Amino acid sequence: MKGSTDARPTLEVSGLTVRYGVVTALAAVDLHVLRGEIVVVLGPNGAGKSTLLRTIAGVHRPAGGVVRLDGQALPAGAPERVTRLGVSMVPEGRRIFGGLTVEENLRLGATPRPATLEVASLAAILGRFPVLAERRRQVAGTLSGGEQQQLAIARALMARPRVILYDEPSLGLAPRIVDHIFELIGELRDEGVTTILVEQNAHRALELGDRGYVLSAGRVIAHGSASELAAMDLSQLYFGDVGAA
Amino acid sequence: MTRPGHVWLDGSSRGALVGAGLTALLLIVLSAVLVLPGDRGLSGTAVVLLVSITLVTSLQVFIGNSGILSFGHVAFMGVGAYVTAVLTIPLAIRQTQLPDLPPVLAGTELGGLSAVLVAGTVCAVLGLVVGATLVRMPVNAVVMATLALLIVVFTVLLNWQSLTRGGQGVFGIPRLTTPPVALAAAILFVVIARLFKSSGVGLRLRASREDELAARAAGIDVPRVRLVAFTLSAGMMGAAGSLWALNVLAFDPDQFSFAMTFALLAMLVVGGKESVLGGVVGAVVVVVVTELLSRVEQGVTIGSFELPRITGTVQFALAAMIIASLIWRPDGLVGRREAEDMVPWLRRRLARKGRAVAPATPVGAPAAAAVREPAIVREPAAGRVPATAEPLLTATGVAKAFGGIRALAGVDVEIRAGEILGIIGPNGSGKSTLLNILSGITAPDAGLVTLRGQDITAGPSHRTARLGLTRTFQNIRLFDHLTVRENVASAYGARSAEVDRSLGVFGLEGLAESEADTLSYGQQRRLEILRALAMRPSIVLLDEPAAGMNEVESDVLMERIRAIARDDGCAVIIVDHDLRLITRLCDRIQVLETGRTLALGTPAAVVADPAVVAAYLGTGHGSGPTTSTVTAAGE
Amino acid sequence: MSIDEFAQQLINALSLGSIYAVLALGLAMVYSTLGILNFAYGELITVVGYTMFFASEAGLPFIVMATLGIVVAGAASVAMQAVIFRPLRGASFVTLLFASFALSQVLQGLFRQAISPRSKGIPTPGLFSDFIQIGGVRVGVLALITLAVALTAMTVLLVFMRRSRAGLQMRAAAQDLTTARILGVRTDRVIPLAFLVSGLMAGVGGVLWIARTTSVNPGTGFTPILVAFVAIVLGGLGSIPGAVIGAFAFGALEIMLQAYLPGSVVPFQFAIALVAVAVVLVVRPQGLLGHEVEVKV
Repeated sequence: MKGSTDARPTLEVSGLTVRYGVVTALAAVDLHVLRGEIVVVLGPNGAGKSTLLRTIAGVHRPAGGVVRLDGQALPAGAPERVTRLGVSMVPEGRRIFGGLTVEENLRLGATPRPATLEVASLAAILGRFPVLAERRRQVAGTLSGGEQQQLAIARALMARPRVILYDEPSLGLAPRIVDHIFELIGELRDEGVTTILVEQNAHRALELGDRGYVLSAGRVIAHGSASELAAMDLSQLYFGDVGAA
Repeated sequence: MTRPGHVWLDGSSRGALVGAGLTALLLIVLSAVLVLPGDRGLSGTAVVLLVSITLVTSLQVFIGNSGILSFGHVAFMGVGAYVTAVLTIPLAIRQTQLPDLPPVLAGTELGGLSAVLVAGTVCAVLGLVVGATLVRMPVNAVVMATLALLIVVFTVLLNWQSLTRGGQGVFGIPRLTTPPVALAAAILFVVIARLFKSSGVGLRLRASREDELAARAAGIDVPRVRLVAFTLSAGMMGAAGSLWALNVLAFDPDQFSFAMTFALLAMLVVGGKESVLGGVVGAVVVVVVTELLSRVEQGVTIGSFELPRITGTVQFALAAMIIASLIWRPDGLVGRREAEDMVPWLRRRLARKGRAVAPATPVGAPAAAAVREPAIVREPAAGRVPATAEPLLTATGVAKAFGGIRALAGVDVEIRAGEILGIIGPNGSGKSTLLNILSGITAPDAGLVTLRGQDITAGPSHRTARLGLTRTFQNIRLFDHLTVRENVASAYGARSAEVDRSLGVFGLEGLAESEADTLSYGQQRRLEILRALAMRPSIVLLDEPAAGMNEVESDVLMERIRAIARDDGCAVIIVDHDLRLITRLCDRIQVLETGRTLALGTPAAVVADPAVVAAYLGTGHGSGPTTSTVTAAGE
Repeated sequence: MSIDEFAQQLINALSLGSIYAVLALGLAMVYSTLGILNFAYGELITVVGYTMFFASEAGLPFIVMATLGIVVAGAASVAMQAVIFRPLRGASFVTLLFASFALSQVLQGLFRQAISPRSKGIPTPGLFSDFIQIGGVRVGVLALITLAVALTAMTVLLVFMRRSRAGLQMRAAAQDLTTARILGVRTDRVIPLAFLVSGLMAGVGGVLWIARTTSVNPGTGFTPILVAFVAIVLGGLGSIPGAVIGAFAFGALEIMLQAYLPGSVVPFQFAIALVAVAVVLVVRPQGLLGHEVEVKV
């Protein structure tokens, strides 16, 4: 599926630098996402992929650089405001509220929206996720991994976001479940949701995405269309060459 | 941002004595200023000040070094004061006040020194008993427990009429705390506090204050060092309470409650609780403020009820000062500096190797850092053979679940002396949990871990460390406010001469006196490894040591790790995501996925294994092979 | 002792325990949302007392006195958050505890200076001293009213936390503040709200306490608050049901000690109760209902 014809990026990251104490997690990262496309972010562990998403979502304050949504700078260090502006995140490890019910988790997702619309949103989402509808009064901590991932995505959708950030949605899930999740992500893209997908599962992600970036040690070391990246030998980047010890 | 570190001579007790001497000088000057003019009011203030210094120094010994806020120490002060009262009030007066005293107490009249010693001893014993219970609680609960201690003792003092005369209080205590006595006591207390701080126990306690988990992993028996400090400080507090009683001459239980606790804590917070000088400075500030405001409030000081009877405005001012300090100067007026740190020329003379720390290397200049470090160039040994056939560490069937999540579902690990084993796997595969179990931080739900035949499954981590298995941490856990040297020396069993030599091997000797949090990232990683090696372990676990490093830095790291394994025969288990490093460094690699071993073998074999590739890079649409074609995975 | 006497003591224990439970819940509200133990919480009770005192001087009926007391406590709690806890956000547990300790001392001093160090009596309706007969048991009216009011307050709190949007947000923030923020929960609203709820609970508990003791002095808030702290630690830091159970347990312990200890030892009852709690904590450091925390390295 190709992206839209709107040339100006919906989300644009420019020169983003993030530090934790003495460690530089991101070093002058540039990235953009066009309306309605899926951009995939790949790279080995510790490359800064999660940090990138969390900074866009407003959790971390960058030491330099800016993130723009439709040309407007997103507030730094204020995730609640970023959500209100239409950017939702499905966090790494899902981060559902294990002590609350499925329904309560979903209702929390609607926090940025007026209370009066909450009921309608809930009905719509439950309609779309029959598995969750079945378990709506169940305590979320007792759901299976796949169900929790669906819940995390459904929860993000309750806010009717324009942009969704997925942080390693396939983590710890069986391949068949991963299929479902990726199908869902694709469907949402088809409905017009602009998407950034961070994944360790590079092949699957590139099958789904339109374009991609490869991060390593906080820098973008490769980018291009999904097909271009899929043709590269990524294992080279990940494993290095196995020289004599 | 750089900060000059503390400086010690060879043997840190020399530095402690120099510092104590300087502080003593300060006290002598203060006393002279107040006493020599011959004004009774000022002399009285001098004694109050000096006694306050003994009180706050006693408190500082525990709170400053352990980092645990105790609300209960005033209880020891009260006990000490009453013990003294009961033993020093002249017999005739005592008979009328406390007719029901047991004969032993009714008939004994002690001199000042004996009374102080008895009070101190009684409180030390009490501190030992109470402390033995307290130090086993989690830190937040300890704070509440000390509060309970204060209340319990207060209640006892208030209600045990036959011993204390309850709310009416006691009077008639002889004035034995004269200015010279108070001065000598204050100086002695300062010396004791400084010596304790720089002692082995004090150092290990301070390490536990900085990072309890890392301290335990460095072989430190944290409850035990806390108990030593608690007991010492309780005894000192009792002795100080005795001196106080021998100055105020009459008191009642109300003195040993919140107002006094508050005043003493205020001194520590305002002056700086991690430094003995801080306590002294805080005492001066608080006493001065109290005196001024008391005079302003009342015109005259009422007899000998000065410091303890804090009324309205004084308390208000103290509280305001505390809150202001907490907001703007949380480390207090002197921060963590001691007396010898305040005198620049002295600092220069005492410095072991010249100047204070060089500016921390910015991460963006790795090339410069590599040049500055001594390069260890070695030829990689081809096909290294493990020194012994017998495995050093064996873990079988290790399983652990947190809540509903299975972190490990039956994993086996084996390693021999001199071997380097790499453990890799995607996020959530259980690597961290496995390391925590091996190092004794977490107990597994099932499985057995033995080190040289000894069962270390249940830990605790300090025991595992002492038996020869140490580690580093993913998120670097150094003792931030201790110097580089202290970080290494605080590990259990570290020997002074060896500490200096090892600093040299790792290129850190020029930073020995710098505080650990002023080091660059790469230097911090090295320091953490050094600390783990200081205990001369048989096995060291490295948790993502190359995280955040670029190629140059990780190559140097790789050489160092090789040297450790080869030269010291130390086995190394390394968890990292830098596959370039892992594949070139390790003899064997073990791949974990969702809590199980997916593959185990040489780097070449593992990297070529399609199941491993699938685990990292993902399969295409539909499922790929999930069983390893290399070594059979543990089920 | 007879069944009837036992029943009587049981009602007393429940009644006292319910006051402690209300207070413990208020304290636990802030602790679970922010990880802070507010040492100055006790002064909220004192504030209730003085509000009621001045209201009684103005001739207002008891109900109005009580309502005013509750409202003022809520407002004072929010003020504490704005003045002390917000500037210090991010500081360590111990720093915040100590700052709130300082605040509590300031307030006590203020009461002492601005009002009086002496106790002030507060008139309560005669009804409170009556007894009614249920079967063979003589039950105090005040005990029953206390129990009823406390249970009502706890129920209202429960409903609020479980049903309302704001309550849901608070519960989420207590479990995982960062994720709650990512979902849009505004901490600059949730935190003051937690303090408000905490203050209102202190208000209710304070009114019930004053109704029992009929007087107020600068140190009034001290004892009940200490019990609330102990209840929370006993029940398990971080566990809301634990706070309630810890509170009832302590209330029962106190009443039983009072009833059964020999006369000469009675003044030590509080101390003994504290020691008993310490023993429990040695055996089970995480408290009765507390949970083991996973170590994050």
